[in-house]
Amino acid sequence: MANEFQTNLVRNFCIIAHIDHGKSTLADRILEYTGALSDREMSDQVLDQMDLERERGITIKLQVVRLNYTALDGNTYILNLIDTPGHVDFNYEVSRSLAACEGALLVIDAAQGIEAQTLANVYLALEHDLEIIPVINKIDLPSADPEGVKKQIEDVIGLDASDAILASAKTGQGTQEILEAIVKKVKPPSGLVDAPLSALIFDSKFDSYKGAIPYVRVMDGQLKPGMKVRMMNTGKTAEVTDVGVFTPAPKTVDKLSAGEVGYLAASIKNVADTRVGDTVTDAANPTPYPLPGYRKATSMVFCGLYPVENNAYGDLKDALEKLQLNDASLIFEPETSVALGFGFRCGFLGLLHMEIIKERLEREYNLDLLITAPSVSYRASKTNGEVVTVDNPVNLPEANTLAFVEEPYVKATIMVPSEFIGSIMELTQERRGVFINMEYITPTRVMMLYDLPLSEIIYDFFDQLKSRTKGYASLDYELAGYQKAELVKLDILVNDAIVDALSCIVHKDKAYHRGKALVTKLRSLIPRQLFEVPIQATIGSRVIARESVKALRKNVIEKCYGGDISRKRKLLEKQKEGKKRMKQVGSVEIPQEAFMAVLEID
Amino acid sequence: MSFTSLYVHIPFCLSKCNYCDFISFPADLQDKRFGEYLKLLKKELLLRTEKKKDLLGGLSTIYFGGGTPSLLAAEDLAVFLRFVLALANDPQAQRIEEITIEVNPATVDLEKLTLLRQAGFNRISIGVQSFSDPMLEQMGRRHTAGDGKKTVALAKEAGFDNISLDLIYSLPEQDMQNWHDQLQTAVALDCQHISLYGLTLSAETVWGIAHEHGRLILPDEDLCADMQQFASQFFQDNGYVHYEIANYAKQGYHSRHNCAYWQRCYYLGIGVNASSCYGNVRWRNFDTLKDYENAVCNGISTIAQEEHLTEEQVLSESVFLGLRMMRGIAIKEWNARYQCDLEQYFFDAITQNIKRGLLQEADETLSLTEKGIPLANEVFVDFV
Repeated sequence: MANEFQTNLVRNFCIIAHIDHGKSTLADRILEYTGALSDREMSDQVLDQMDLERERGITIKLQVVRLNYTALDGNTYILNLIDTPGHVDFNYEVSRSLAACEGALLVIDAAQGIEAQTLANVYLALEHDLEIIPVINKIDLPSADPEGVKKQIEDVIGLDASDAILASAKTGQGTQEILEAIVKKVKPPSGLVDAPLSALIFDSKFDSYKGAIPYVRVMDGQLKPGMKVRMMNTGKTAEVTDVGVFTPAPKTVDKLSAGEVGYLAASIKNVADTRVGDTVTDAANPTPYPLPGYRKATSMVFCGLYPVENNAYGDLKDALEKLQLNDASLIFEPETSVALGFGFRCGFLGLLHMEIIKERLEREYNLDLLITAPSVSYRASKTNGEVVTVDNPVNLPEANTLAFVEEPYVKATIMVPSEFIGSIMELTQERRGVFINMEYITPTRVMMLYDLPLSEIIYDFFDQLKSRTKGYASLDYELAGYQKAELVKLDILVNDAIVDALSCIVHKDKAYHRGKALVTKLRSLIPRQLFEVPIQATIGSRVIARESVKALRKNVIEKCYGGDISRKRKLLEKQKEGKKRMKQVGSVEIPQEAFMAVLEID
Repeated sequence: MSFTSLYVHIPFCLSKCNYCDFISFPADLQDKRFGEYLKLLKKELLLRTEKKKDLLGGLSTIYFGGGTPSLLAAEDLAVFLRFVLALANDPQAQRIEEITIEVNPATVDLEKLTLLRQAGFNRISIGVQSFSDPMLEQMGRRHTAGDGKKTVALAKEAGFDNISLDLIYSLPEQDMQNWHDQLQTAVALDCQHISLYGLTLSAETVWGIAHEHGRLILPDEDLCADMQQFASQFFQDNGYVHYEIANYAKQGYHSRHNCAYWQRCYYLGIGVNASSCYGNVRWRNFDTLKDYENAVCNGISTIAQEEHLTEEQVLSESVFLGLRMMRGIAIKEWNARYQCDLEQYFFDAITQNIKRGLLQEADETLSLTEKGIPLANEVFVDFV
């Protein structure tokens, strides 16, 4: 059976790394080395396909590619590389990739050493029982210290670093050793080809012609066109029309067998029918055991998304549904705002995730969107014993019915050169952080652990952390329960009416400062109207800050332009366009940026 | 096909002012390109009238604008004007009511002005812009306040009895006191017409760039509005009628030529970058001397851009242009001309703006209110 698929020649692996440690470049080298792409097709960071990813130099979406590698032992192996995002917001995507693999390359920058996310990623990989291959990257840098990094790997992570591969994704050094290590150390998949089909959906994508396309890792059995399959969780059945692998371009194959990674198309129209984490099985001969899936994505940040033009609500809904198929961590449900009309309350993994979703909706779906101030999910206990989850400040119960409010906390790991310990203490104190522990990981670097309110780190904490440590600090965090806090709802009144979309929940001690900063910012963002517009910040019925936007006095084209009327008309059309992009709230026109003002203060 | 008005663009200036975004090229007095340029203008007119003999048969205003038309020799301008009048079949300028020339101070003397007057120009628009020497210098103007005043006196002496002044307000670091003084001076000159422009900066001008980088401090919106309001009242107190958003005139001395624009009359613009309008078509000539020259010399179209307006665009233009005149739009006349019901067609825009106190309707006429004048764009956008 020469052509029969041999599981022992398959390796499924991913690359995990702290952001900027060279993961995508290393993936490029591996693709190049194995000839997956011709030179002509090779562009930098091949796996970062989205414009946004290239522009920002980060990986947002996980990507899959199948490689053929002829090893020194003479066998040709199939290597499935699952690229993963590096930003802390996207840990969830990392955990999904891990579930589809048997091994992981742990890439560490030879000059930077272990960072907060390196650790978080290692723990995730160990949880999934993966073989970890340490790769010390960027050894071509003058400041590279491979021996020091090896020691860190052993001391801090507890992995044997004697076999750590020294590599430079820039020069290509070490690429072959990495591929050999994958073949030798990573276990082949253990699935049974003869068992009933069970395949894990680890990602999916929407194609306008083929419908929903789940990306799967086949654990047992085989997946072939013509089969009738069932999604065990949703119960949806469909007939498989096409299966394929990623070269990285999608390529149809006869079948996908146990141990393989690929995609399936089955004319699945409804995006909700193929949930990431679900198990695909043979409808005629189902497996009795659904795969464990993985922990659900936890939304950290919530905000309202509204179309600028009310009639685009349907388009926004469609776009969100399609994006959700690509990004299972995005959640949304309809909500209405007095100020903004119909929209959606959306949950995100973090602020970066939120920005990216907004940008993708605007770019890929050509929508004009308003986004309200981000909020975390609070837990409000009422005096009658009822507990409500509040992810929109508007829903915080009235003060007189409220017993107490709890807010989500995170356990934050910060790694930083020891000279910045003071700066970190200062910053975390400003953010209501509680110090837990500090450990020297090398004589000059420390790992600091803090309990911090999530609401204090979602805005600009990371930027502050970077700027106060000359860029040296790294951060990772995970949710760590709820704690009681003295929180109040801060309302903003524009022209004497509450604009619900501008309300936020803040700590009592910070309310005054926040209110003042917010109204000042709003005054500068809201253009003059035909009448004076008062802007107030209130807590309950108490006004804590007040500003006003003076009435518009002058908006006229005086010049004649020698009869060039077209120029006048164009100026007017431009002004009209500008007005269209504003949201009419009561009788006041508020620009989109105003709703994000809360992000730009402090 | 016949035009009501003719605009002749002279795109030369001694130097570019720091705030100017019009098409103009630096030139010296007696620049030898002037003669060439006048030949091109003649040729453009001939090319146009060749095809349509009666093109200028209904002409009632002519306007020489720039640039600085007064850089050209009076004799040459006179010859050219005679040529135009002949083409318009009105050699004695009996039908043509108004012939204006723009003049910059310090580019004319009594002799030149007298020749111009004799040639048939009956209205003169003087670009004094300001009566403050430091401001003129900062603006990059090549004349002093004294030159401005003197030019007015010379124009009167040369026999002009329809003189207009251009004034710019909201200049860098200008305050109310300075503005009062300027207005006093302007009114004391007792001209028939004053055009009043608030400084507006385009990005690509010297001042535009300086402003963007914070090197140029301009009066804020409130002061700017106060200046305009004060000037408006001041002129009216001194016998001028506010007849258009930016224009004031003694009774009967409104600019016929500019009113033609606001009434959507049909006009022909000749020369570099000149704009024209006929029916629902607007077009603009090439904006470089080279392209323009090339087109004229080869007898091909001089038009760089041509726009065919939709019916809706024509209607909306007629309103935002018509409302620029303080007397407003005579509704019945408009309805008859455009075969449309103004109040019905623009129902929302009209009602909303009346409600906001920016528009008023009385005696079958729709016009801007006092409050609506400085906020005219707020009204106009509802009509585009």
